[in-house]
Amino acid sequence: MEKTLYSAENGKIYKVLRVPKIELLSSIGIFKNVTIKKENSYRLGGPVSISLNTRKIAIGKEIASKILVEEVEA
Amino acid sequence: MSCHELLEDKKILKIDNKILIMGPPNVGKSVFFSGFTNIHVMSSNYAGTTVSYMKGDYTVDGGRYSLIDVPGTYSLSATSEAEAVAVQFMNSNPLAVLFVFNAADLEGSIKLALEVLDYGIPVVGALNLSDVAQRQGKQINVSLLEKELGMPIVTTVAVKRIGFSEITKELGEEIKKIGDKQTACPDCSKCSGCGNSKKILDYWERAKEINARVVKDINKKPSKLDKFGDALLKPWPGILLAILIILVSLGIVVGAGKALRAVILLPFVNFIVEMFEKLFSNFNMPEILHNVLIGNYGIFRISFEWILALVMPYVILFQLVFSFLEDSGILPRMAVLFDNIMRKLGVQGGSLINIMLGFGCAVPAIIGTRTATTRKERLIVTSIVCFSVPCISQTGALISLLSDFSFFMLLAVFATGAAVFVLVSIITSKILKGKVDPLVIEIPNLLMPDRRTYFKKFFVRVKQFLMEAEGPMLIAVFLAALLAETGLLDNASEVLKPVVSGWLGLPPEAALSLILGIIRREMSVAPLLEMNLSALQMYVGAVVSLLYIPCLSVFGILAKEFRTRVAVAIVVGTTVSAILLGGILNHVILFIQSIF
Repeated sequence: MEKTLYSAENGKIYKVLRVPKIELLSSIGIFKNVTIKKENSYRLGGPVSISLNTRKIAIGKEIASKILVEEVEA
Repeated sequence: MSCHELLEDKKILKIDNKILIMGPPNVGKSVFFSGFTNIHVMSSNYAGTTVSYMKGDYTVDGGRYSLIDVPGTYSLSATSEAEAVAVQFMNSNPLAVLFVFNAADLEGSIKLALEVLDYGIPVVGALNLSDVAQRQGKQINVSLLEKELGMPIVTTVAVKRIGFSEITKELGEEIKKIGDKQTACPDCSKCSGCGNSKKILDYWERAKEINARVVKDINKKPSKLDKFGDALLKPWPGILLAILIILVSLGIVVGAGKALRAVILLPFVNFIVEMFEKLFSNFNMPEILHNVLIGNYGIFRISFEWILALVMPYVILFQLVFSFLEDSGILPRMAVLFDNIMRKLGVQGGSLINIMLGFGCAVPAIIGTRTATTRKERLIVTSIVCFSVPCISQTGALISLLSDFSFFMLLAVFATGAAVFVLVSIITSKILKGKVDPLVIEIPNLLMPDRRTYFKKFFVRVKQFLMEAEGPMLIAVFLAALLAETGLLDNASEVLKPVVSGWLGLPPEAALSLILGIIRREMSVAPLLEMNLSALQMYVGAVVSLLYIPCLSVFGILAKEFRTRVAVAIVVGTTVSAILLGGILNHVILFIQSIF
């Protein structure tokens, strides 16, 4: 089921389906078909944090709401 | 920043024999640079400490080369001002590249290395942070990595100088090889052959493959430090921990700073000043000269009392604490935790790092805003720092002025500062055109700062403070002595009296604060200490000096980083708002007092 990264549940593993065209995202390693784990979300319009391989990355709400993901069975 | 050899000159792109240090952000490139050139460059544990390049001499095999510390990039596609610099350098026909890998996150480094390798320049690799990788249970097959990438790679721990001599040796070998054949591209600007020939996805694909073959993860339990790093990133207990860390840091700076002042520096200063008093009383000199030298505002009195006893204890403590925060990797976690608040103020969490830098000094904070991706963000953060963030010298002076009176007074002034902070960021983000990009930040591993690197950084910072602040502080002291002890101040006070006394309700001689404050921030606070102010006067005086012009060095850096127009706007804005708000507070509080 498709979800935005922002609304996705914490602690689960997702495959990225769609990423907005932001250069920084692809240089940091977030693009279509990459597997990520959503770690934390922060209330009141805060960002989400994910882990991607060995990297930990935080992404602001506006961008995270534009990234579409799909849950992968761990 | 003069001692940093911060070079802004485009000519540097043209010099020969350049060896570039390249790599992703926050892998320790600057630590290598400092080690090879003996020029100390600031390094911390978060992305974007180096926002401009540094040049230094580097000897390899008896040959002299220019080593250049290039800001870190995630890719060679230039998404910020700092990244654009890196791309420029790759296109400037360098002799060789020292590429620094992050052993704890190899995939991203391999991807960037592949991009760099496509330029056809000889590359030597340093597999840095190998200690962190080991702590996390990663085994890296270095010889396989060398083979896959076709470049020599040395395992290093830069902060401990492990692997330095091997790197120099390998670079020597590579340079020797070039000696035989001519450089492939004599002029990069005309060549379309290298760089960006492949899609970024292809690079990632290949990096993933190599990474899978080279790295073996032996599932090791996460260390205490890693666990703490994760806890600090979770909303709970992260926010609580972050607030505790801030409070403890403040407590150390204020508490230990006061202790250092009271126990060591003040007695020492009193001893010295008494010595000079005795010395000068031996000479039969005109009274006015005697006063200028050792009177109430005498040069030999206030230069010690103000600089050594008032400012130094807090500068020392602040640098001790802040260097630790920087090197540990705590700051980027705070950027994530408080992103929601910062967003409501019109900026994003990442700006918090630069704003916190501003509590040390506004100059590096303003330079640091180069990591911002939009001009609007740069201007908002710069305004916040200039209007509402006191530098540590000024904070020190304010602590001395206010906390001796009452701790609540100190809190009241800082609360006023926080209110101005909120106002400035909301107003500037409304007025300025453009947008602020949302946060995207890589969170580094939490590290225990290496003792040697930490203390070196601390000493460099304090030395830098002395070198850069000493001159302006002494000028302010001379000016104070001349004005106050020759009677010139009375004239100036007369002119400024309607503002200083009528509007702000301060004694006329507080005009001295406004005059000295132009030179340095703490110098607008120091004269107030001698004046026996009432509680209200103290509060108003402190608020005015907090908001007042952010010193000459800041004006210089504003004019350099932006346009003179921005610098003038900030100077006029701060002066007007300081006097306006100070006066309003004065009259409102007087009015409230008159009712009760």
